[in-house]
Amino acid sequence: MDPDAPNAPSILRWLAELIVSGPDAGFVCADLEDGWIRDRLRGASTLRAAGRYLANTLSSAISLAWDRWRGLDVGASWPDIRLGLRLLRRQPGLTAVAVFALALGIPAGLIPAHLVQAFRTTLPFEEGERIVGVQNWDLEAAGPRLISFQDFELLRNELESFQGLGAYRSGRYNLVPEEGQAAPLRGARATASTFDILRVQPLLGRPLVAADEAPGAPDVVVLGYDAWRSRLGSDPDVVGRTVRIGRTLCEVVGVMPKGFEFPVNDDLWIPLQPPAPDHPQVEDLVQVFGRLGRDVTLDQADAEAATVGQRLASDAPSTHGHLRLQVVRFTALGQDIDITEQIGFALTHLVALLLLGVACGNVGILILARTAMRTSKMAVRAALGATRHRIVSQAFLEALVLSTVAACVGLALGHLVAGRIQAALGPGALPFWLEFGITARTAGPALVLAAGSAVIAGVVPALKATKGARVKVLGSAGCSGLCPTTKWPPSTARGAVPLPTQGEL
Amino acid sequence: MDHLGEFEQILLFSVIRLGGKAYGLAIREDIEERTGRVVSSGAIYTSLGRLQERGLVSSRVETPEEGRVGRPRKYYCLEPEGARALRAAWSRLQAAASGLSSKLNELAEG
Repeated sequence: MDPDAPNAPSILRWLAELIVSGPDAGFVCADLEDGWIRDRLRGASTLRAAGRYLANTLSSAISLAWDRWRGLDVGASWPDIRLGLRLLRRQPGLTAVAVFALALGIPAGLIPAHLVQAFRTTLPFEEGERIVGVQNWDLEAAGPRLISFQDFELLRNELESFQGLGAYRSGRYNLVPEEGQAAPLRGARATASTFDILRVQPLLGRPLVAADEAPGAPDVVVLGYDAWRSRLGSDPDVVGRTVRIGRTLCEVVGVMPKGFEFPVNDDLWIPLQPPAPDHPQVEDLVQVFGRLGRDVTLDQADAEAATVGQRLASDAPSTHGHLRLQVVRFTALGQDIDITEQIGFALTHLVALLLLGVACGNVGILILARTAMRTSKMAVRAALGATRHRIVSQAFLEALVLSTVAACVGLALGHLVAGRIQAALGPGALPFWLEFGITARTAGPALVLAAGSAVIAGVVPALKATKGARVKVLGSAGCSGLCPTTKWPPSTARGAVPLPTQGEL
Repeated sequence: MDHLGEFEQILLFSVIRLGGKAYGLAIREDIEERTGRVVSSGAIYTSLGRLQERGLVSSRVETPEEGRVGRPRKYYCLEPEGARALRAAWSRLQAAASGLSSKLNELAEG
């Protein structure tokens, strides 16, 4: 493919990655992207290319899903799904109300879990789940505390659970190029080990190295991609140029790739040098993080850190007696959520799910009304040999089609709203690793909720409607008492009861 | 003998035609160009996946060379067992249609 050709719009790519799933999903998405580029290179308009992309995405998703569904052998068939879709079209009012209720209810039920997931994410680096934070927990203040540089150096030498340990201190710096205005940027004083731990290579030049940390070493800076683009005009020969960081002249030694904004939203990195011996310790506090060693779990590292912390506490009870050293997920570093807040959060989650329950209940009532109108058809189907299980499973599928459509609408709305919120907050307001948009990990629970909604809104009404339906309806249609399936009189059916279509049997 | 449906036969003919370059999009475009039939990428992969399970085709995944833009692609290749099944299906159809071409045209036109 031509590297200069325009890529498909991100909303289309996002939709494809969201709904196309299965072992070959990656290849299908690659084909969709190649198809888009080919269409555009052949002169197709954006609208036409988007239409083809969308049609291929939807039909591919159905093909892959149907293939998996067939493998499950749940007794459902394509005609059942087609019938569900036909019923949606036939009753647009009910469809609109039900989709609206569930499209609000399903995302509302997911918001708390989605937020938790967003904050519990791992850093977007190679084996990012192994990058963890080390912090002190202040038992008196019941909150996290930074670690002194001296303690960091001690931990770096003693903790064996880590492949590498680094430290940083974030702040705001004025970057002044040789020609141009000063601009405040978020940056970090970081140890050279930071770049080894994160396993990210610079786009240009080199990262910080151990020699940069030595007292008296020349002042150097590594710039972020955005700072390089906006402040230095994407100069390809930027390495070796001099910029002023605050009052210090620094040589630019490297530029990091786009998207690298460790630890929060930082755009420049200067060496974190050891403090002078007479420096007050309180000003040397740093955030400590590291990469767990191979086969070392977070709990094992935490246990080792706690042991070292206890020794520090016994050696210096006045400064460390109230501290407990702990290892936490990097994205939880500095957070102080206690058990009360966790309980409150769980209750919020429960309320959100109750909201979904109310929406499902309302949709269930609508479907029950529809099912009641179709009781006679169900009776005929039962008389012709359809089991109750078969009828109920079809009702479930009908409701599942409805709730899946609603879930897709709700997820798309949620994604748009999340994007708007993130845009309104402005760049740099949130950590670079925090992504509020809907991902495949959110779509999975949404589909589970859709299935749950289908059970409440479809199966329950169908069970109620089919309970003794054959007796009552056939009785009212002119067949007195019980009408066994084998003695079903066709004349009665033709005369009084609407026959189901082939797809409904 | 392995039974092959119409779409599976079309797929296998396309794999033969494309040689070593038979991957999803290429197969899709080949089928569209020759039969006018629009098929989804998903349908192609699921069908080829089933044919692979039956040992009629094999696949290999190729990642773009370093420095090139693109995602990995899955290329398919016809196995001898697949070639035999396709030949048998094609022979059966030919035998069934033998001598009926003019009659078919006559009936179709009216």
